[in-house]
Amino acid sequence: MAHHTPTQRVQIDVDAVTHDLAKIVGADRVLSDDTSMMVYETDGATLYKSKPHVVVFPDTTAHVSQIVKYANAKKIPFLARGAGTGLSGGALAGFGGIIIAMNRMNRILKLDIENRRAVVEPGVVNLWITNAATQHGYHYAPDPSSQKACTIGGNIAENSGGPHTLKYGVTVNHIAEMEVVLPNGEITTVGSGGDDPIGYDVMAMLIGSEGTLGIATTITVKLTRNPQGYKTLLAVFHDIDDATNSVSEIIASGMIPAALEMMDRLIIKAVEEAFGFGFPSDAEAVLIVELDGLTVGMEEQAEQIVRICKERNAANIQVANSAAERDLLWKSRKQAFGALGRIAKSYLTQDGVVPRTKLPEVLRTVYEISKKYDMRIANVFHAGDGNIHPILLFDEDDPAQEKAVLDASGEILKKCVDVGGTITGEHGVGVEKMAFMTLLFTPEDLDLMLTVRSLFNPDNLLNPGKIFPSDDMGMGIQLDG
Amino acid sequence: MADLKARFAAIVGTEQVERLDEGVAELGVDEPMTRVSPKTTDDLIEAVKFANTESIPLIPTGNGSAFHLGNLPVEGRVLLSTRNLHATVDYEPRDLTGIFQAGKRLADIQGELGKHDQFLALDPPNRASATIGGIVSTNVSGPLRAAYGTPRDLCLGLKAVMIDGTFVKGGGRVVKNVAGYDMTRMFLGSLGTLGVIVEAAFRLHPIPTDRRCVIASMKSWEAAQSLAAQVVHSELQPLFVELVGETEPTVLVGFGGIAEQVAYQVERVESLAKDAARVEIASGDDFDARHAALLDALDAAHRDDTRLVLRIGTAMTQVLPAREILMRLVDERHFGVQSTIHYPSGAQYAIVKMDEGASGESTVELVERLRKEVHALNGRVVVESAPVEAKRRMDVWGEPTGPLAVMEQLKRRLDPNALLNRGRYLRGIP
Ligand SMILES: Cc1cc2nc3c(=O)[nH]c(=O)nc-3n(C[C@H](O)[C@H](O)[C@H](O)COP(=O)(O)OP(=O)(O)OC[C@H]3O[C@@H](n4cnc5c(N)ncnc54)[C@H](O)[C@@H]3O)c2cc1C
Repeated sequence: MAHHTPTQRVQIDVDAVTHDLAKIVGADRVLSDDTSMMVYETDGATLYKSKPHVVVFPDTTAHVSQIVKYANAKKIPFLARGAGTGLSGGALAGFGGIIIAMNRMNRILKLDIENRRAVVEPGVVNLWITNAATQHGYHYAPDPSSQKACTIGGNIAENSGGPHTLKYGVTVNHIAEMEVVLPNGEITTVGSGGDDPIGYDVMAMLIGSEGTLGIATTITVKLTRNPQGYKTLLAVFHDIDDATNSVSEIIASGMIPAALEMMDRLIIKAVEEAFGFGFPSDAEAVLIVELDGLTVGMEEQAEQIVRICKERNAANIQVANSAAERDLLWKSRKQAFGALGRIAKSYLTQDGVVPRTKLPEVLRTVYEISKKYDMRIANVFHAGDGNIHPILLFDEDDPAQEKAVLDASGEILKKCVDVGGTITGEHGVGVEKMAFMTLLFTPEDLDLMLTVRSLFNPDNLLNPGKIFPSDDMGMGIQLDG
Repeated sequence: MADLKARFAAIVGTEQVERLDEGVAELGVDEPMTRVSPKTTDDLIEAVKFANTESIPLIPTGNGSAFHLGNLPVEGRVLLSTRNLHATVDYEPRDLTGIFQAGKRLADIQGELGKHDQFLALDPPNRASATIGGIVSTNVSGPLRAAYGTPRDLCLGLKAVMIDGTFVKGGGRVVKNVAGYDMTRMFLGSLGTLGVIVEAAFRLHPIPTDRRCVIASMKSWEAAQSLAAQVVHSELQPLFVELVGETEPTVLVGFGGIAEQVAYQVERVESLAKDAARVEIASGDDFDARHAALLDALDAAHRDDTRLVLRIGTAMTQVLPAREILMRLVDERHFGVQSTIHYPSGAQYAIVKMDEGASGESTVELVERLRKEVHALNGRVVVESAPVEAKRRMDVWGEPTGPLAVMEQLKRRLDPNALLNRGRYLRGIP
């Protein structure tokens, strides 16, 4: 696995840095022992490993700014880290250096229900905001499946989505204002109390920049009113094309469901074995459709969805009639990843997006690739957005299998790009998809982005070794040819 | 000048180059200008390259329906128009996405999509003549933003030509995309100062079949605000919530969708509007007319050289306090004000009717005082249009919503000789 650890590391005097950082945040807020560093060597993309030299836990924006200024003065690479649930290797210290762990900056500073806003620190876990706002009838809409663990800071860096972003949009649509520490340590504010940017949209440029253009230290998020009602349906199909075509048809009928999620045979089998939901053994696809909003007229819409699915030969359609039943229908989807852990030693989750109408074609290609490499690939995904998550199952201790996983990933993402899609819809490029950037972008496109980076982050000290092929530190996937 | 015209003509063809003898009044230019309107992207690239080599400042434009925006250009005498690039690049109704060349007019796009009962959910005041490139460059929106958002939310990707002729893209055509930096939103609202946008992709929506609007005449602005707030915090899903009027406010709440849902929502608003002086319901064509009237007032004011149009952005709860500040300042000057407030976004448009012969000076002073007081509410004031005389003496943008130093550097890196819309963007941005 030599090629998944960096070939270069910075040299730093760990004791001196630990000592200096302790002066900023206190000795109990700095870690550098080897065992602790192991905890921070990877994120949700466990194939990639690179240890930081030091981890520091700031409490305030001023701390973050001082740490960043210190790192600049000493030319030490640094990056922010939230919960470490990222799936592209964004939160690992590529060349070593300092990880600024945002977990102690985890206060909800203000709920401003009248203006539908909440002001939070970056270490706040996504779901906490919803938990705090729900008594007022509000929630924070972007809901990554990892929402019980991932932080708002991480969400901003990745511009995260979730099952309900089909209707409500992704992170960038739900942030009003942020206080940011720029890569030189300066503190600035982007966004405003009003809604429209004045001047270049620096806030949007920061969101989704995978933590390479600045560190968010205070965030004003927009809150969304809880819908009056929900209607959740689960349909089982014996043919995957029937399921994906139902997705297109539901959308084309003019409805915008809150969520349209799909799972294929391998996932169904895994959740079935793990939790026994009672799915038929010959099920090829399960589609979960959720409507939300006004209760008036919802019944008719649900009936229309049932009709569409039935016309497409859905075998079995369940409709939830209570909150408990809704949770049950969602349970299979939410536990999909967990279930996979039981049937494979390792897995790699891809994140391509394709135009919805291309889903049948692209899934067929995924199955062909699975056959070609003799590798199990499970699919659980945000079908309404055309955002597929092929999960490649393998054994990371077998170098041959590992190579195959990377090659197969490349083929899948190439197909996504070929049909007009993209290589990542919500997980980011990180270290994992650096090589695939050239499938999508011309050298000129990449140059423009690098110009932007050099403007914010001229010495490339903030989270180096990510996103850009030119930043490859020898651990990314290599494209053949 | 004649030479310039000939040289551009050699690149893009004689037909595509015009001389505008009178200049463009809204841009404060009364000497002749040249308008270059390439028919292909390749020609546009060549025209930009030529301008770059010869250091000719360019004013990128579509149909010229937003010349009223921005500060007055410095030195620009050449308009580079995308109006001849007006193809639909790709439209797949079943994906609810469409890609259009920058010069395509929004009105034409709506006509095409309408055949499939779909539309691009944007309703800027200049919707009749605005091109899609102009809309993206100005991030302009209308009442419907309450339901669908602004171009910033609906644009999925774009292509642009940089000043050295480099062709770049941001985003794509799919609804989720986080590969690399968000170059799409970097260009959005940049008023053509970073590059010339030549193509943009959008998320589309089904046209709501049943449309109805509740129009409640209220006795006071407080009552109007309270009704709007109740709607916003209720289970209702309005297409728009507007507060409009001069002295007496009217609240307009629009709904669209399935008949049964629309009917329920209209009833709910009627019951919330108990203390209204009068409540009317407009549906179908009547709805469309009321919606259009909201936009036409602003559109006309933008074109009227005696009007000052302000966009005041605050949080929802500061909408009325901001309006009160404006009213006080305006009363002192005996001007009149007509307000159009997109309540849920806190975007408030004020059409200030000045006395005939009011000096540019008094307008400038009004804006300055207003800005100062609105800033105290964490709000911003942008002058969307003003008499040219006033514009010569003011900065229409005010304080940006991000670090000016970063913005300035961005501009310097991407357009080092400040050839694109020189002077029209923020003060401090060349
Ligand atoms: C089981 C599972 C399900 C998932 N489901 C989804 C899903 O449905 N949708 C989705 O979008 N993602 C999903 N993810 C991916 C992941 O949860 C998201 O990317 C999440 O936003 C990462 O948050 P984090 O706090 O864990 O960030 P980390 O992994 O700690 O960091 C991610 C990136 O954010 C940067 N960062 C962290 N904090 C800051 C800050 N304050 N300022 C600037 N940069 C910062 C880091 O430098 C790094 O580059 C899933 C992951 C798992 C494991």
